[in-house]
Amino acid sequence: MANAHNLTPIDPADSLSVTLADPTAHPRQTAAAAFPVETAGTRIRQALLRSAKGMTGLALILLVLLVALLAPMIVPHDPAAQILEWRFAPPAWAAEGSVTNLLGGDNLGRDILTRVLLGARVSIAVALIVVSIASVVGSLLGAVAGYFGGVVDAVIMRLIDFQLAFPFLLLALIFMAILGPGFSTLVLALSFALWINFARVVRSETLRIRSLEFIDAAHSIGVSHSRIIMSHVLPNVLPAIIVIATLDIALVIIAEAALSFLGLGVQPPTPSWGLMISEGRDFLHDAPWMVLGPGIAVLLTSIGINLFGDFLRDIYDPRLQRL
Amino acid sequence: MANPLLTVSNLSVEYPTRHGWLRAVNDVSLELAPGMALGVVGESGSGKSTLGQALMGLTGASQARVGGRITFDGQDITGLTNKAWRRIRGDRIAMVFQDPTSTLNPVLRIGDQIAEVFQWHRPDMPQTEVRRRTLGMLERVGIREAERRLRSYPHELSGGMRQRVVIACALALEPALLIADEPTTALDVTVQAQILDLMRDLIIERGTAMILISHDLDVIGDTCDAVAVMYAGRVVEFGATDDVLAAPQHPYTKGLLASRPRFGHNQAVAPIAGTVPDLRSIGTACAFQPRCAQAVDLCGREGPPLQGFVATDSAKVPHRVACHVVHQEPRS
Amino acid sequence: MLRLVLTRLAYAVLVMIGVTFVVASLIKLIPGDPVDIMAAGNPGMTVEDMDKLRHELGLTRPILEQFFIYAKNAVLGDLGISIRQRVPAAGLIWERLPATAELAFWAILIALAVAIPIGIVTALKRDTAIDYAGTVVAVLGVSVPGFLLGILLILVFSVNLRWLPASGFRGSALASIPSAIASGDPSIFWNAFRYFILPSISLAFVLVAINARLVRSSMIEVLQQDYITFARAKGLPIRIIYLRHALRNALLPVLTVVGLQLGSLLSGTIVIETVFAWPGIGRLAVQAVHWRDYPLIQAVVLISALLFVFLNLVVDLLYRWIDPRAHHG
Repeated sequence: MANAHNLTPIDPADSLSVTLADPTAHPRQTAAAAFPVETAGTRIRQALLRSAKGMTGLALILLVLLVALLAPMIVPHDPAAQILEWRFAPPAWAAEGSVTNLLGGDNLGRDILTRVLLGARVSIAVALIVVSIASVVGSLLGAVAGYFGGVVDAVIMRLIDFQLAFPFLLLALIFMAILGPGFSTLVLALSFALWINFARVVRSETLRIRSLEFIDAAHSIGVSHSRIIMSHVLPNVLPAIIVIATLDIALVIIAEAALSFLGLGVQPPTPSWGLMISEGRDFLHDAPWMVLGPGIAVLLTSIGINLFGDFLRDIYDPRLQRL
Repeated sequence: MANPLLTVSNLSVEYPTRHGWLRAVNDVSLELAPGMALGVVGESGSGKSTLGQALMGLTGASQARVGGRITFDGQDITGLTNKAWRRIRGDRIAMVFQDPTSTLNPVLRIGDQIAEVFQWHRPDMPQTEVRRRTLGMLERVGIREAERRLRSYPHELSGGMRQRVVIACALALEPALLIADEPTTALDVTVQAQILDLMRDLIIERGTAMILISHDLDVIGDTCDAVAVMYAGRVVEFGATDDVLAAPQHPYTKGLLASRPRFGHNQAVAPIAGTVPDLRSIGTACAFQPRCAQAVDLCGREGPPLQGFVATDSAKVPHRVACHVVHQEPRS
Repeated sequence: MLRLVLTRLAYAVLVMIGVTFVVASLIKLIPGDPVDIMAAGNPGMTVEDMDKLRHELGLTRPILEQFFIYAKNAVLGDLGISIRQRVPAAGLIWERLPATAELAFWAILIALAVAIPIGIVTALKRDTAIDYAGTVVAVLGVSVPGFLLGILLILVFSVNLRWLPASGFRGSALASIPSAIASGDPSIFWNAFRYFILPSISLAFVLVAINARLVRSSMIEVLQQDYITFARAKGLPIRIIYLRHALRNALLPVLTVVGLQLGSLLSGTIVIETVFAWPGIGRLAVQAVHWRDYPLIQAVVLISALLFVFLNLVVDLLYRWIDPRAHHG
C-alpha cells in the first residue's frame, strides 16, 4: 500500500478516499489529523471549480438558502392578504399579466410569488430539522451498535430490518394516523424514516475501525469508549454522513411537499410548496400558474441539492452507488 | 525461417495516461515457426502481457496506439477491422488467461461457453455436431463425467478444472497459434504441472504454435523451444531455451536466473536490486542500466540493439542479446 | 437451496408477525381516547356506537391479548369494520388491490423497459453527449416529485392537448387483452389502458432514472471483467458479448434493487393515486388517515406491509435462482 503511493502519482480525486480509508491511522492522531479537514476542504474546493454539476448545484442551494433567510424582508406582499382583484391574476409572462403578481395570484387572491418565497422557509426548516435529528440519532445508534456489538447490535439491526418492512410513506402515514397531521408529526415521521441510512453507514465503518488493533491499544491505556468513537470513528464516517445528509435533504423536501400535498403535512394557511400545488390542482385548467410557481421552486431546490450531493459523492467515493 | 507463422516487426504499443503516452511494448521483433513454442519471460510491467494482447488485437478498447507490423500466416493483421479480427480470434489465434475464475462467465454453463465458439465461427455446423465436439473437447482436456459437467457453472468447478475448460474453449477450433498469458500462475502448485503437461500435449498433438507468457523461467524451460526475455517493454535477450538457460548473456537474464529459488540447492536466492523503472522516464538509455552492476558510460547514453553475438549454427535459433557490455567483450 | 428458502420464509413470517403486532398495538399509541377522535371525524356516531367501538378496538384489553385477538381475526380474514364506510375493511382493500397492483405492474414494466436500454447505451457511449443527456435525465428523475410530475403531465396531456384522461380508472387493461384479441378490436384494450398511461409514467419516472444509472454503472463494471476480454478473444460478435455475456451479469444487481423499489413504488402509489383519483389502496390509505378511520388504517397498513415483505421474499428467491453463484450461498 505504502509502496504503491510512492510509485504512482496520486490523483487528487482518489487521495481523499485514500486518506479516509487508510487503516494505518495512528492512535495518537487527533480527530483533525485522522481526517485532514484543511486539505480535504481545499481538494473539494478545487474539484468544485472543475465540476459544472457541483457548481450548478451549489448555486441553486445558495439561492434557496438566501431566499429562505431573507424571505420576510424581500417578499413583495403580505402572504395572508386576500385581495379580490388578484384572484386568478395571471403571471407576468402571460398576456394579461402584470408585474404586481410576478407569478400570478391564487384562488383566494393571494400573491403566489410571496407564498413561494416564504414556502422556501418551511421546506428548508423541515429539511434541516429532520436531517439533523436523523443524522445525529442514526449515527449514534450506528456507532453504538458497531462498537459494542452483541445484543445491542442485534437489537438495533433487527429494528432496522423490521422498519424496512414499511415503505417510507406508509411509515409517515402511520405517524399521521397516531399523532394527527401537523408540523411536529411531519418532522417526527420523516426523522424516524431516515435515521436508518445513517445508522447503517456508521455501523459498518465502526465495525471496520473496531477491528483495528489500535482501538484495543487505546482502550487499554484508558481511553474511554466514547472518546474512541468520537476521535476515530466519527472523522472517518463524516464524509459519508455529509453525502447522505445532503441527498436526504432533497428527499425530505420532496417528502414534505408530498405529505403537505396529501393534506397530511404542513397545515394551511402556512405557505408550503406541496400545499400550494395541492390547492392549485383544482384550477389546473384556468390557473396553471398556481401549480407552476411552487412546482418550479420544488424542482429547482431538489435538482440543486441532488446535483451537489452527486458531486460530493463522486469525490468521496466514485464507486459508491445510489439506490 | 522459411515460412514463419507469425512475424512481429518493430511492434510498439502505447497507452495514454494522465502524464502522456506510456510505451508498454517498445520495438519488439519476433518470429515464430508453425508448431513452435516461444516463452516470453519478464517481471510484471515488462510489457509481456501487452504483447500478448496486441497479438490478439485486444488493445483497441483502451485507445492504445499500436505501431509496427504483425504478419500472421502470410497476412498483415496490424490494421484489421474489428470484423476481420473477429474471424481470426478464437479460430486461428486463441488465448488462455491467467485466472480461470474470472475468465469464465459466472452465469453461463461451461458447455455453452465452449459451444459458442463453434456456433459463431462455424455457423453451419449442426447442433448435434456442436454438442459432440464440445463434449469431445471437454473429455480431451481431462474433465471426468463430461456429459454431466456440460451443465455445470464455473463456480462448481475447481480452479484447475476451470483452466481446463478455458483451454478447451481456446483449442476448440484447433487454432494455429495459442497465446497463454500466465496460464498456471493463479493455480495451486500441485495443479500447475498438470495444466502445463496438458497444454504441451495438446499443442504437440495438433501442431499448434504457442507463445507462453510467464514470469517463471522454470515453466518456460519445461515447455518452450525458444525464449524471449523482456524488460521495460523491450526484448533484451532471445534464443533457444536451452542456450539461454545454460548460458544467459544479458545481466538481467542472469539476475532472473539467480533469483529463482531452486529446490535442492543451498545457494541463497539473489534478488535483482532495484525495481522496474518508470517507463516514461527511460529516455534513450538502456532501461536496465540503473540496476546493472556492469553498466558502462555508453549504457546511460544509448540503448543497445538486439544483436546476435556468436555465430550459431543455422539450424538453431539464433541467440541474440541487447547489451553493450556483452557485445564489447572480446570473444574467442 | 431448499434450506435457504425455508430460512427466508421463516424470517419473512417473523417479520410479518412483528408487523401484525405493531399494527395491533397502533391504536394504543394514540394519545387521548381514539374513539373520541374518531367521533370528531365521523359526526354520525352515537354514544352506543362509541362504546361498542371501544370494545371492538380492544382499548380495555392488555396489549398482548389484543394482539392475539387481532392476529387470529386477521388470519381468518377479518380486519375489522371501517368506521366511515361501515363495511368490513378487508372487503374495501380487496376491491382496491387489483387497481394498485396493475398500476405498479405497468410502472415496473416501464421502469425496466426504458431504463435497461438507456443504461446499456449510456454505458457503451460513456462520456459522450448521449451519456451526459442520460445524466441530466437521471438528476431530473430523482429530483422531480412524483405528484408534481403527475400534475404537469395532466396539465400537458389532458388539459392542453386533451390526449389522455386526467383521472379515473376504467377497469384492468391486462384483463382486457384477451377480449381485445378475441374481437380483433384493439380499442377495447386502449380504452382501459389509456387511463394507466399518465399515472404509471408518473410512478415509473424516478425508477427509470435510478435503474438507468444502475444498469450503466453495472454494465461499465462488467465490461472490464476478464470474461468479457475472454469472450472477445473467442472472436464472438460484439452484440453477443454485450447481450449474452455482459448484460446478464449487469442485470443481477438491478434485480435486487427492483425488490427494494417495490417499497418506493408502494410509497409512490399513495401519492400518485391521490393525484389521479385512482381507486387503489394508496388513496384508500390517505383517505383512512383523513377520516381517522382506525380499523381501516390498521388494515391498510397491515396488508401493504405484508405484501411488501412477501414481494421482497419473492425477489430475493428469484435472485438466488437466477444467479448460479448464489445457489450455495
